[in-house]
Amino acid sequence: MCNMETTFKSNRKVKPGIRRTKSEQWMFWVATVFVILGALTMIFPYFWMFSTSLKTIGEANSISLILWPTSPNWGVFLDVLTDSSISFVRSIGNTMFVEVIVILIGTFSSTLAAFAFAKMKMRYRKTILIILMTSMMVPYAAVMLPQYRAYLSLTNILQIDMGNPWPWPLVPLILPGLFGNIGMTFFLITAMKNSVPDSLVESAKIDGAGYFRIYWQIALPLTKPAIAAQVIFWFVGIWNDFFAPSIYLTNKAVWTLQVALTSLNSSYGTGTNIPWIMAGSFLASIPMIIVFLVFRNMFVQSVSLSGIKE
Amino acid sequence: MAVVTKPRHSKLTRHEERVALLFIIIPIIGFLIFTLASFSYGFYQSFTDFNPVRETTTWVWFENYTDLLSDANFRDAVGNTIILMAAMPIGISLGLLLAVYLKNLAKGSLLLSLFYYLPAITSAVAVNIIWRYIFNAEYGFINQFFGLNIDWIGIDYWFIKIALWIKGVWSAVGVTMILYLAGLNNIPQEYYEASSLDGAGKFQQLLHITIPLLNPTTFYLVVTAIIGGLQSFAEAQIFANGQKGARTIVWYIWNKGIYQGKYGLASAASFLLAAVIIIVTIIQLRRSKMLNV
Repeated sequence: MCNMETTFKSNRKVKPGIRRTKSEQWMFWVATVFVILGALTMIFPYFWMFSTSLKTIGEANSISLILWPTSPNWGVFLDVLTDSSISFVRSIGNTMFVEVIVILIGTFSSTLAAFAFAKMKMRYRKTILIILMTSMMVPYAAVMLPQYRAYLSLTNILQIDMGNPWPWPLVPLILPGLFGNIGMTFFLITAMKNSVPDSLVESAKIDGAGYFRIYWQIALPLTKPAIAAQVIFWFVGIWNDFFAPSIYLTNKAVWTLQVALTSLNSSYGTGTNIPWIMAGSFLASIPMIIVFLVFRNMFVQSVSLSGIKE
Repeated sequence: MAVVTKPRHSKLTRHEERVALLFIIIPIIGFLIFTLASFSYGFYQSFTDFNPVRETTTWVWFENYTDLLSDANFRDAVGNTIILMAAMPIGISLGLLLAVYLKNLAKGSLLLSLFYYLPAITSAVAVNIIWRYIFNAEYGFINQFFGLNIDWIGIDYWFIKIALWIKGVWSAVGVTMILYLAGLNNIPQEYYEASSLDGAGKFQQLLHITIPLLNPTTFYLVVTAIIGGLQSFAEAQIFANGQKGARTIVWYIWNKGIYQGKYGLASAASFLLAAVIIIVTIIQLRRSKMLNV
């Protein structure tokens, strides 16, 4: 409930702008009430998720409204984390496994390509870029089935033991990312054009630096903030990804966090233990909320960029 | 990788071009495998029928497409997907009003915008799970708080859609707000000053300055909402648990293709979906200056 209190506190600091007419001032306060009611509606599901986690199964299934449990079960989060049938910790490990490999290698591929597109001369530069960008308009559903079938036949050919498949089913989730993220490349082309001066590239060339060194030692450090913004955006995207993982990750050993959460929800193993489902959702959401709070400005920058580019 | 500087210019340029090609070869290979080859194979597959018992593939021309169009489930999925997008104008309008309000706010806007943005960083799985319990018929918050007795996620055609509209507006308002705030920052303050000298009120300014000048943002939001809405899956799978009234096109593709192994039929559906999305995207790209890189 502390969140709600801070909303009200912040609202007390609100000062109506200068020179408003009476009716405008009145409208401002009506709008303020609506915005605050809206903000309460926004955080209410999070509060409900949190309070339901702390309830007993009986309280969660109660027909009467219980906003806050009589004796909150604070141990529920540790229970969910350590329960072997959900293997939450392991699925966080799998998620991080995908994250680290994809982001390290994928960012390298994306930024290297962005550097070439932004700072190097090549024929058909724009045509190649546009062709690469068409991948952004093809929906995943339209490439999913062939990739899934290719995966199935490869598991047959390679005779993968599906009883103990780690990390094989994670490969179809990791592999496409290694070739980079064209959205990231696209935004970094602009960033590199703006923040890597041509004169600097030219003088590095005269000093005998190769293109890779110019990329590594000049372009990368100069575009660090823009790269970081894109990386964080991508990180959250992988963390929250669910459609492709739900197709490939049928074995518990390779579940990522979202798949574990889905299984927890579809009463797999634990029955309809609503407090556990809510505690699981809470645990899965909190890391990204923290990431967002810490890197707030980068988020706003990444999201805004996509609109401003208009 | 070190370059030996040579006096001849054309050779240097040719070297630069070769290195550049090397630098972009990784995304090109990725594109060839995961977009071009995958998409083409899916397109080919949509004209074939796969027999899972004999593991044979036969060419059937347009049979999958005619089957698809005569399948009531597919028509339902298309209908549901389109109806579920109807909440979009509400989400976009609320996001606009919110952005206008927050822009004029001296302090406190940060915290408020944080609250509104939370759904955008929460996973679709968690969001749909939470709302599923909020809309639960027996112990859900909505029914308890408003004293209703509605089976939101039941067989009723409209209740499940109303529930998903509410969830959809809740999810969309934050991103819309952030994009509009960015758009508002690009409107010169002088426009407002000049118009208030002419005696225009706040409401008139909103109608005649703000909204028209935010047109590009609105257009972008509508297009991305259509593209996103056409691909919605988690709503059908997690929120509705496959309930008929919320089955979307992508859910249909997933169900026919991955679940039932009817690759040809599912591929036909995914090709039609891709065609619509590609057309919408091309309209968007032609209107924007996105390709001036």
